Amino acid sequence: MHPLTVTWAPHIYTEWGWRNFQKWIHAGHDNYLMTPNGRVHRLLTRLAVENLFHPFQAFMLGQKSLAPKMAIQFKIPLVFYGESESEYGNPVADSSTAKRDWSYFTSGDSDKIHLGGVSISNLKNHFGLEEQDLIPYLPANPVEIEKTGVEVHYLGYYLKWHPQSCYYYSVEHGDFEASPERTPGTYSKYNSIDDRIDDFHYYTTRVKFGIGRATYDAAQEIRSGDITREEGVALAKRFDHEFPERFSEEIFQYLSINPKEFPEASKMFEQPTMTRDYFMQLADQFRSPHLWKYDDGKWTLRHTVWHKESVAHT
Amino acid sequence: MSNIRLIPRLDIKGPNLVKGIHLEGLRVMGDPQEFAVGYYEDGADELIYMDIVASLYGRNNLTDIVKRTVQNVFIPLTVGGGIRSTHDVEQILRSGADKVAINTAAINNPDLIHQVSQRFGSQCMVLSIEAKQQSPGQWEAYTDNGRERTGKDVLEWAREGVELGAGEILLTSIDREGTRKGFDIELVKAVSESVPVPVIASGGMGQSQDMVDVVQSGKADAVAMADVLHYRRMKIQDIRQAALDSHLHVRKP
Repeated sequence: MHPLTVTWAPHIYTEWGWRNFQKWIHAGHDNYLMTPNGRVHRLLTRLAVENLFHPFQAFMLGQKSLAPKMAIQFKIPLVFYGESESEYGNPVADSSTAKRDWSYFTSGDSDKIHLGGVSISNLKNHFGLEEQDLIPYLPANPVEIEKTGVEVHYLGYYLKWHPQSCYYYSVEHGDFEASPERTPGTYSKYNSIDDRIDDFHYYTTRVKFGIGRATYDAAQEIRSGDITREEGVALAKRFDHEFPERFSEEIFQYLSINPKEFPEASKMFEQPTMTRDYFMQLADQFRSPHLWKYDDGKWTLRHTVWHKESVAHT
Repeated sequence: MSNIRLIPRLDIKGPNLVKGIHLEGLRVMGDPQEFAVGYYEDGADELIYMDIVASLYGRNNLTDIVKRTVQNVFIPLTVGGGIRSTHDVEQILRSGADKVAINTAAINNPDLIHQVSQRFGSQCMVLSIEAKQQSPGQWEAYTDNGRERTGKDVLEWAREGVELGAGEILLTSIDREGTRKGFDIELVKAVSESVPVPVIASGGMGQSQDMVDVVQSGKADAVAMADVLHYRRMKIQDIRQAALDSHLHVRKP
């Protein structure tokens, strides 16, 4: 096989993420790196944080649509992504087939599309965006998909998805390097380490769903047989809640929509400048009452996996 | 001069021997007891047992494994991981260990080094340092199995630890650990030249020449090895023979 590799760039590369990307290329792959317009990407990401508390939405939309579009461009009909989203809690029905659901990346009607919780017409009319700014985030044309015969498959359907084995393989064959420190919110340092905003993605899942990155990592490693459930529970208890301090100032700056760079869009925000206080204020709006309770001036989870342990033993 | 020691290092998690790369992605290898007995029979000079996730999980529970091991392994055993007090040291020594290795607790409370060496003697107080390179000639000490930065400079910390009473230093290169790319010779040399006590070089052994280099150029007093032994890439007898062939002062079989 001689695959063409295609990458949608992280919001802000970590230094080790950038080095690993270079090593990927030098391990013997051609690569197209798509880096979206920084201002457009910042605005859409900020809107997704503001409206959905989902700092990864713009990234995910771009990433999902990129490979099929490149497939059309180069007339390469077979496209592979890595693991299925059901590994992270998406409906398991999604993984009943190796092929991606077409609705993920094709749409006939662009008026029905919202980005960051704002309709495309509003983005154009009130946020200073133009048609071409949105192209990277919009799905491939289904007619073109049909014509080229593009099929998108998950590798995880054919090979057992085991991140620890991927780590070993890429160290062995691609000189991959682990992160120089533990990722905030978890214990691991070998997966999902190339984007500085990643820490915040998992912090928001903790707020919205009550589970943080340590839970995701531990659950996956328990399923893979790398750690025991008891360890996983201890790790989730220790790290799940941790606020990601290390890149926070840089991320808040990234998410700030100032009048100089965003003359029109900056007027649409109650508080264009993102601060720690404002971020936490937003977080509190996204805490579901069935998951969180407010006691003695602080938010606590109603149910945790380590509470369950103690209940089970009494 | 004293012999250069060849020391299999067994990183342990729960009931299992584990092995990672850069101390990460820990893979379950099997029963540590079986490996330990095998290494003893193959002529290892000492063994190191590290409960490498003890601090990460906030626990320590190697005493049972140590008790079981010392029933049929009769070479010095250094045990580390999750040791936080002189009480913990006493427990581990009573279980049959000859030395204790301390990292995280010593960083948090350097006086612990003094207390342990005063009470049990410097010979059993091994300061374990996990080092990661920051720039040429500069390394930072880490804790929690290479996950947490401490802000401490490795060379300064090594000197401080020895002044407080550490009798030996177990020096692990996070950058090289599990990679089989050879030891971080600059690191080992810098530490060896900074302190008067023995330094055990750990992390990076891929072939016999790496051992020769870290002893001759790095001035290591002992060489820890894991990957090459656990994956049965090499045998201790062959490594010892290679050392003799290169005129290193190792114990003759």
